[in-house]
Amino acid sequence: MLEWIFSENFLVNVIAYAIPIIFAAYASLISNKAGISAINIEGAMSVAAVTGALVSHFANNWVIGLACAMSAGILMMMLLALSALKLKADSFLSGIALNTFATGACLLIVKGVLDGRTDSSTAPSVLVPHVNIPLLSDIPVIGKAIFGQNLLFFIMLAVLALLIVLLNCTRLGVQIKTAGYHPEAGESVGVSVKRTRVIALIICGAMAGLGGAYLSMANLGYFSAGMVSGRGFIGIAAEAMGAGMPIKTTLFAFLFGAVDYFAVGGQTVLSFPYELLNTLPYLMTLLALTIYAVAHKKKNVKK
Amino acid sequence: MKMKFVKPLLTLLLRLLLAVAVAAIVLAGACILMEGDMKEVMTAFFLGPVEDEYAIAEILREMVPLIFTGVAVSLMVRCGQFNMFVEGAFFGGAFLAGVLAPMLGENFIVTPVIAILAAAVAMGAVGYIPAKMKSSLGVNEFVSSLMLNYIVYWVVMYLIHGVAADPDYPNATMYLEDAMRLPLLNEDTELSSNLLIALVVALLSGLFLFKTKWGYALRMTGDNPRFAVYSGIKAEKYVTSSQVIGASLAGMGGASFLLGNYYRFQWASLPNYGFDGFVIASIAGNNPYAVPLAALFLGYLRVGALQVSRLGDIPNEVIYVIQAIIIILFGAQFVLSRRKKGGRKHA
Amino acid sequence: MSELLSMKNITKRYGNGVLANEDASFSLREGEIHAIAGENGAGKSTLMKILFGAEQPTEGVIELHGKPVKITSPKVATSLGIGMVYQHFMLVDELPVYLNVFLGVEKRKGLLLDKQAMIEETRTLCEKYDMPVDPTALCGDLPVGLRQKVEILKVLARGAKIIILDEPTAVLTPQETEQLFKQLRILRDAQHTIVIITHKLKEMKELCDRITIMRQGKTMGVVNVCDVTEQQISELMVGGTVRLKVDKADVTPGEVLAEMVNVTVPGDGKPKLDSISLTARSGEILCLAGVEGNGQQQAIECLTGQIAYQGSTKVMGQEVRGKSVRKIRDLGMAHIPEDRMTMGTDQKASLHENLISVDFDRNTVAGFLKDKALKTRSEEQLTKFLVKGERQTPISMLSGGNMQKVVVARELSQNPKLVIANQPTRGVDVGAIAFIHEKLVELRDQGCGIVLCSADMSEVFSLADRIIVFHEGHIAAEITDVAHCTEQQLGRYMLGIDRMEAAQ
Repeated sequence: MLEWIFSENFLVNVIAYAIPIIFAAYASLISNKAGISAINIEGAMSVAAVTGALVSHFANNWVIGLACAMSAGILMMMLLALSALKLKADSFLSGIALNTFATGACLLIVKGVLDGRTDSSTAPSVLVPHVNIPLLSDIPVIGKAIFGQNLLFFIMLAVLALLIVLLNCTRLGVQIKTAGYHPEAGESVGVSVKRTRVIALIICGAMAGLGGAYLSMANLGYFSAGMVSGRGFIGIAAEAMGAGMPIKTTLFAFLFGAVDYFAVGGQTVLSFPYELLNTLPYLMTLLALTIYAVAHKKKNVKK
Repeated sequence: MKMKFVKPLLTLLLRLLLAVAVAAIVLAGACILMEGDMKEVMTAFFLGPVEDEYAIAEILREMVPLIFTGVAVSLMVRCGQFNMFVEGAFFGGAFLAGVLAPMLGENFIVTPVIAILAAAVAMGAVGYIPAKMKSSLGVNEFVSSLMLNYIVYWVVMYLIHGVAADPDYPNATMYLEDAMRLPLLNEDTELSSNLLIALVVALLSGLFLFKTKWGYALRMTGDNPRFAVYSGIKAEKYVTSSQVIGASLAGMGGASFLLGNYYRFQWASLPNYGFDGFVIASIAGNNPYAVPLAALFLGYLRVGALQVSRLGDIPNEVIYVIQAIIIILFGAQFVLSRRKKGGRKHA
Repeated sequence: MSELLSMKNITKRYGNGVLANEDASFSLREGEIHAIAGENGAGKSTLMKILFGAEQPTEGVIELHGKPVKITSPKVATSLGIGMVYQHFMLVDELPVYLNVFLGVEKRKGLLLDKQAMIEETRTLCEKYDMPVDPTALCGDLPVGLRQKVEILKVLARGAKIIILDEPTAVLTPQETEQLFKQLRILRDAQHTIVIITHKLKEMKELCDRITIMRQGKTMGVVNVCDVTEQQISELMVGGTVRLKVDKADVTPGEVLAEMVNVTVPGDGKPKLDSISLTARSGEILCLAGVEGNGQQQAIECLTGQIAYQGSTKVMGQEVRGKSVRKIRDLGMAHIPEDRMTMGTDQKASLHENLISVDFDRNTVAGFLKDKALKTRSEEQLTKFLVKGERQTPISMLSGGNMQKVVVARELSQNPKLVIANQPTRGVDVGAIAFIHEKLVELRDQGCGIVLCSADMSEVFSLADRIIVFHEGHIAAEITDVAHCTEQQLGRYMLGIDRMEAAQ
């Protein structure tokens, strides 16, 4: 087992499993900062996954596929904006509704386009390419994992940097924080909280779109119903643990990704029932949430 | 006194009409996109569910899980808890009943009743985990309960692929003899008596919520926990117990549903009834008394969608889309009468 | 002096038919400090919100420099040089002072924020108007007095010439109030025009040049401060004569009802309560006074069982540390909380449901509530406490005064032996204040013990039989001869300038 864990492949795969969770966590981060919880990140990823897979196949072009996947994610978040901000429905209930909507919509789309199938394996996606940085990717153990990754890994790093700059050094960042921490203060100086939240949801949707696209256009070469399987929710959990800080959030999402891969990859390596291995990421999240809460409580008591 | 009921009833009717209109529009859209025959589809959707006693029985069957999960969600939401474990508890409860009933043997009524109660107790106990995590540590119950759903799901999968499986019938529990199941109300349409259990549960939950001291405390805790604590109500206790009761009712629902409508437990995926519970609760305004009506309504739409899918052009999943729009419309403030409009105070 | 701004015949009718302003008029002269006075619900705030563009008038015109203007939003108001400091600060605690000052008008260099320029400019403003604020400090870390200064800076940074302050002194100590007044005078001398919304007579006399008095949405008149007495202003405000003094019998303190011994509440660094001891007796009104955040809140929270602490608290002779709120209430304690909206009521529930929250479980049969008996009882309480308002609707529809009367009705109907009253009349109209005071005094005369925590000096002086002053978690003074203590002396104790040796 140790041999497996320290193999080059392990790190490659851990990162691969972490990427969608990290994107989901970023999506959650930006929406929470603006003071609106978007629990339909899960559903948005799913719709983005099916859109990216089918569009890239029929357009025979991954760039168009990726762009459409992001647009689909944004569209789903705009539905949340419509429901929670415009119609003033509870954002939580709206999120649940939109997840249900996504489940139905994905199946309708894939069934409609591919004549009743529930996955798109007969219409494989055009994959987002891998990037091999010469020399660096030859470094043992970490080389391939970091410098020979899928393009979306590098996009993720860029997004992280942009997020930090956005939140700390731009007017939009100030507006987003204001909308989240004290919306009335924003309104009192003419900063529209609604508008700010819509912008945050657009960014959130784009992130969810990238996460979904990664699943159907890089990780697996096609869409299959239920392929997101809680990764959006795990991303939300990772963000909760990261307490809204981009780097901490990334690290937690990465950790969850590692456990996720451990469960999947371990099935062939370890002599342990795969069903129980599959509970690992969820058990881990539950445990981490508890430990985090206990630590937090202790800190507060000390205060 | 009369006015007290007339206005909410009118609002409810208005909303239901709106929901029907939404369903019609979505279906019409689907017809255009998927080349269905508009007239045929609409007839199947609106009249199909009442075309014969089998279709009607189908609606009533659909209602059972919806009532259980709808009541469970209503109780939790009234206490301010958005716990998703209703999903896992329904699944786990059904599995437990499937395993326990054959072990209890063929005892008419006794076996199903014990199995159902056991499922309720067991799922209540599992539901205690996210509940306690919330009330004592402040862990967000939404995330933790979702994680718990997946854990329950995989544990059940593990058991059903191994120790709990029928050796002659892979990936399913042992066969349920008639005496291990809930009696049927009608042999011909195979309508099960679990519908009666569901209705009684809804009624008792309503009494509990609106007439007892525990229900009162639970509602106050949900509306304003600080007020509850200040008044001397042990808010933590109700935060925990509302979720445990919810999980327990969902477990009971899963067990009743299985022992009424199936001969084995062989579900391969989470049935989504937990999320449906939120749909029902939001249509019913989190009022247990109104839950059966909401379930009847949604059951009708679902059987309608099923009838439509039998025509071949439009898949059954269209119902998810309709359902989602309905929740949003029911949650939206402009049709929500409970909140005040324009009632601003001036200094 | 020229007429700078005038609002003519303003009427504001809300969608639900409530008339907030009716034919109200208001005018400002350049470089004056102008008070808008009136009791709660008189329409002062609405009128000012209309001026600031936060509300739109149903009828009426606003003229600036003699020309009619349409103020459709706070943004428009800001561009016209009108700024507003709200009573509840509009500051983002998580952002530094300079970003709060420039919120919505951030300076940028290209796409990014120009932090340096904003810090510099904030510093310049601070120096110009003599406000000692660190531009880079996090807003949430500042005390109330400084946070208010940040609000004023915010308005100044936007170039406001007319500054509206909504009850600016409500949260300040006497000394902080003095400071604020000094600053407002500096601003006036720099040709700014200042409007303050207030209902404190003393402040109007001390600070303002003119007063516009409002009542029931209408303007009752404009007076020059130098021409009128406090009594006259007060009559214009409420019509009849207001009893500023409460009639009460001589104090006859009896047995000890509550006792705190060496109670400590830990805090960040220094404790919030540092080993304090006090007793409350029957038949007396004990007042806990102090500047906000000096420990009196924590003392109340300890007494009512809301927080954990070290030391001992006895109620009716029984140790209550670690006991539940219910147990403490069962000993005969009633508690009127500071905030009726978030703590004292369930806004979504009916009046009746709000009235039974503390003893509902004592009126049950086999777990079921005795609905009928409880409803009759609630009706009696509402009548007795003169609560006006629709019974069936949620309590949130009531006015502040009526809502508070519901809270008071519930608490005082429990036959309490000890009443903890925390800011019982905050934000309540004059009529309700008098009523609540009367009820408290009535209970005290019957031998009940009252512990009152109040930020309203006149309330403290008119009700208290004994005052305990808190400063930085200690007891700074215990005043038994309230009649001979001046407001200035109390202020000195509150700020820790003076300290009574015998207190600890």
